[in-house]
Amino acid sequence: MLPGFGTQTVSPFPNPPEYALAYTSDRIDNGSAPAPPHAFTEFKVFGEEYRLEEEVVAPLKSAGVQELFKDKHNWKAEMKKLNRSAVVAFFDLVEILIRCPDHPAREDKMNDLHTIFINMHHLINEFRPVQARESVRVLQDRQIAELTDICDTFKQYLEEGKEVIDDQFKLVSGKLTPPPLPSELSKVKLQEGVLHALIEAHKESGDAEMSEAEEARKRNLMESLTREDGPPSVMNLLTRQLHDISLMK
Amino acid sequence: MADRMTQLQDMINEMASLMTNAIGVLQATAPPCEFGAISQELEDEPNCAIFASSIAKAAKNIEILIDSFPIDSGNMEDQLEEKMLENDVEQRKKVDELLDLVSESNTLVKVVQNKLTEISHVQMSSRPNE
Repeated sequence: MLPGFGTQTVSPFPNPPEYALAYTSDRIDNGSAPAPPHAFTEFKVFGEEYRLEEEVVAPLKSAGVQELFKDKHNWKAEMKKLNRSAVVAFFDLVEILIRCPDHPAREDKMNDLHTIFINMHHLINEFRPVQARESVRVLQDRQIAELTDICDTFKQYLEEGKEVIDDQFKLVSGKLTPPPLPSELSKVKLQEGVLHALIEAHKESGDAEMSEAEEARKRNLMESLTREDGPPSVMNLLTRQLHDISLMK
Repeated sequence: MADRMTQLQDMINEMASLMTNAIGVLQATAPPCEFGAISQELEDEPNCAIFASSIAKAAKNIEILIDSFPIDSGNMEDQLEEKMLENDVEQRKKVDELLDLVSESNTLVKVVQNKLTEISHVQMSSRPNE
């Protein structure tokens, strides 16, 4: 596809326009590339001509049709007048046909009817851009209402979320209540420091020979620990377990 | 169901076609008549009445439809443009408000995430050593 090579390949698409050669990368970096070409205001799209410079609705005079309405701003009244005139013109036409079908006035009446209908359609066409702009405005109104709704619900959610988080933080930073002491009914009595003494008592038995006094002390300790007055304490249960384990050995 | 403008256009076209059809049909299907006298058959022609009533109805319908338009006389274009510019300004304000709310919610989410990572770290580190 590049020009200058031996074989000229035929591309199915038309070549880019000649002025595209002026826009090389160097020239763009330089800043010396020409300004972009102006957009067209007259072009053909799918065979239909578009002339953007003209007014959206072509005035009647360009089509050679006489304007019948006087006051453009009073749309409803003018339309109704045209409607009535159409019926009246038809009536006149029928009258002429009854009396003298070959009279030249027949052609005149037919043209009058023709003009009236064209005027009616022209008025409607003139109103179309106004209708379009009005629908854009209504669309804007709806968008604004939707945005306001979204903002309000969002604010609500944010408030609720902040509340919850604040509550949680207060919970975390506050002091916890101390754990409650077990009641008498739970059948477990806590004895401080006894576990440690018990463990030491058993440890010492594995060491070197013990003296008589130590033996006696150990025996007394065991007895006091395993005394069965009141509900069995944790120490009692533990000593019993240790005893069982030593028995099993 | 087309919009009212299109409906109006269709109705005008309908009335025009009714008029042309009336004249054409009556002329084409007319029975032979004598000069000067109107025969009984001509009087009894039903299409006359039908066409006349439908043309009258069409005209009346057009008038009713025209009346139903929410158009107030006067220069609507300037008013419209003013309102559109107002709406544009207000929409920008609302969008800015929404953006602020979104950024606020983002900071809130970050705070919550930080706390959650803190909690998870503490939980992991407080597991008993094995």
